[in-house]
Amino acid sequence: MAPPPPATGAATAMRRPSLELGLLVLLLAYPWLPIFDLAADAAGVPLRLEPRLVTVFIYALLVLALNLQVGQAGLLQLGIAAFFGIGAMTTGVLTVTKFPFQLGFWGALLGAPAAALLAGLLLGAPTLRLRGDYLAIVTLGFGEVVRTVLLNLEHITDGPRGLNPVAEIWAPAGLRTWLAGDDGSRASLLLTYHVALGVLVAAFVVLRVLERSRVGRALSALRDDELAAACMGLDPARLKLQAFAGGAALAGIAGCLYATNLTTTADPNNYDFNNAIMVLCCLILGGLGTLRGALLGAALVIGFDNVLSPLLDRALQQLPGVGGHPLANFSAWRWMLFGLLLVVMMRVRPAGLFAPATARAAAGEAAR
Amino acid sequence: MLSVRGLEARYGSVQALRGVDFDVAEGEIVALVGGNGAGKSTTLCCISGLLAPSAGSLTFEGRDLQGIPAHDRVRLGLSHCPEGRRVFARMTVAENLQIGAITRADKAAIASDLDQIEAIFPVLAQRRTQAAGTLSGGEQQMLAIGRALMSRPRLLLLDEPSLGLAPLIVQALFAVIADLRRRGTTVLLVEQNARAALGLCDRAVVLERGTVIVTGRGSDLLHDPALHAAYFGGS
Ligand SMILES: Nc1ncnc2c1ncn2[C@@H]1O[C@H](COP(=O)(O)OP(=O)(O)OP(=O)(O)O)[C@@H](O)[C@H]1O
Ligand SMILES: [Mg+2]
Repeated sequence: MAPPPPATGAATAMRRPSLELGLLVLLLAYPWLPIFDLAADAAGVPLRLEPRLVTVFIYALLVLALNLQVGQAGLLQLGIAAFFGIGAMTTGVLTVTKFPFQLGFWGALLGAPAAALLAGLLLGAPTLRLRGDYLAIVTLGFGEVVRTVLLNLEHITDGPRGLNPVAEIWAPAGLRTWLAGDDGSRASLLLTYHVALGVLVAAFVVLRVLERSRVGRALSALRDDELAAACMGLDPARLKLQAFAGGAALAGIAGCLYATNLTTTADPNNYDFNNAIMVLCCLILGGLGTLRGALLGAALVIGFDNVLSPLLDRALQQLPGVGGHPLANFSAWRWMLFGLLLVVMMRVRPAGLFAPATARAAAGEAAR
Repeated sequence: MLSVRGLEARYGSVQALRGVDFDVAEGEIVALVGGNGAGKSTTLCCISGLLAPSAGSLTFEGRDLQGIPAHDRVRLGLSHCPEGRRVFARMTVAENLQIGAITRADKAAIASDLDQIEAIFPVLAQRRTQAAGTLSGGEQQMLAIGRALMSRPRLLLLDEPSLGLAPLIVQALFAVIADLRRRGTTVLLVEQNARAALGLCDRAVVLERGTVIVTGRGSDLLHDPALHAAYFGGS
């Protein structure tokens, strides 16, 4: 009879743990690496990427959060930006001087996911029994409601101006000097950079453990067939709520880091439907339901937007004969290129770049 | 073991069951037969808790099942293998079988049950790492039955297990069901293949438009001329 087919994605991941570790070491060391000071501008000032990489880390967290809800539990939700915004706004309320709390970053790092978790439970409990597209519509509406509320509750949120200044990350003075000597603002930047990276790694590890646990298998079963899952003795309603609220909490953490990185809760319009769709794009591109796919998707899409385009812009500007031409501006073209890439991807690899063999087989089947 | 009394169920305005009464005793194989739309699957769904009955009572091993959700009934020893294979398509065959045992903690016994099920359906062992959604229809059916057995039920509810299986496999399947009973599993079996089901079962319950029209020993019903004409076709 036929030999057993090649191992699935999970098994492949087990054989190559060094890929993630190598990348992690590289990212940890990046602030001290001179080799990336390449794309200097006309005045010779190199483009340091730390703040942009923080954005990538934050979006990677968001994509992991959405993956828990959409990829692992099969709950198509379009309101992830709302939980992101709730996390950011909670961080603002808990840290700015306008309010009496002033808990600082570390307090907000607990408070933001708690608030987002609560919102997830309140939204999820009555709506998670809705199927597929109905849930998508409800969460889309929720996202818009939250954005509008944040805009209009001006006496709390300061409307489009956002709450600021959001506290920067507190750390012992010794650690700050160790990181950046006397340069206070660089110390703050590096703290944000490493804390965001640390939170991302922690989230990844926790989700990896969860994926391989009983709950992870239960979620996969639920995603594939809810009725059959109930027949196996799983409680679909509870599993869905857990996954949904867990994803919301993780998005809240991302929001906390976002506000901290910007030192403001920013215009609530940042937490809009476009944002949610962007996160969903990352997830689909990388591979729905896979942790590595989620990271890869965030790295490609957000990295493309935040890291690659500015680097290419600078490179183009310095190219003799091209520099200075109004069309020689990569950023202006980037979303067109991205859209094209997405179309090609959906033709070539509909289950995403990192999809396990089982998901690819299923996607092939779905496409008929 | 199981007693069903005055069971009624409706889907919106459609009344699917209008008072169903029957019992299943420990160690029996009971066949539930009847034409399409008679209410067989609906009866099983009420027993397993997937559907809330609108009236009537269900008692399993002396315990009233009302208000107990489907997932908790599995822990009581009820396992429902629902109509239409419903395997977890994106999970592997092995993962599907593991999910079947997710309510259990006895690792050693789970492993030995897994071996037994793979011995009954050798094709499942060959396809262990294959996505369940890519199995053939008959293979999926075997996986669904194997998965239901992994919870080691005391009462197994099987909804048309022979659907889509080749005749030789159906024979093997019926042998498996007979063997299950020998090992102490009680079986409530819904079958379109009524002739074979009546040959296998101890007792049969015949449903028509949501009520029981007759119950009796399988072999007796097999030779009942009226039923013969209605359900089993020509001679
Ligand atoms: N989800 C549903 N919504 C509305 N009506 C339903 C639903 N499921 C079943 N019914 C109706 O309930 C009645 C009983 O259906 P049931 O599935 O129990 O029949 P069955 O005996 O299992 O038939 P079959 O042998 O064809 O599987 C049928 O008239 C059917 O149309
Ligand atoms: Mg049926």
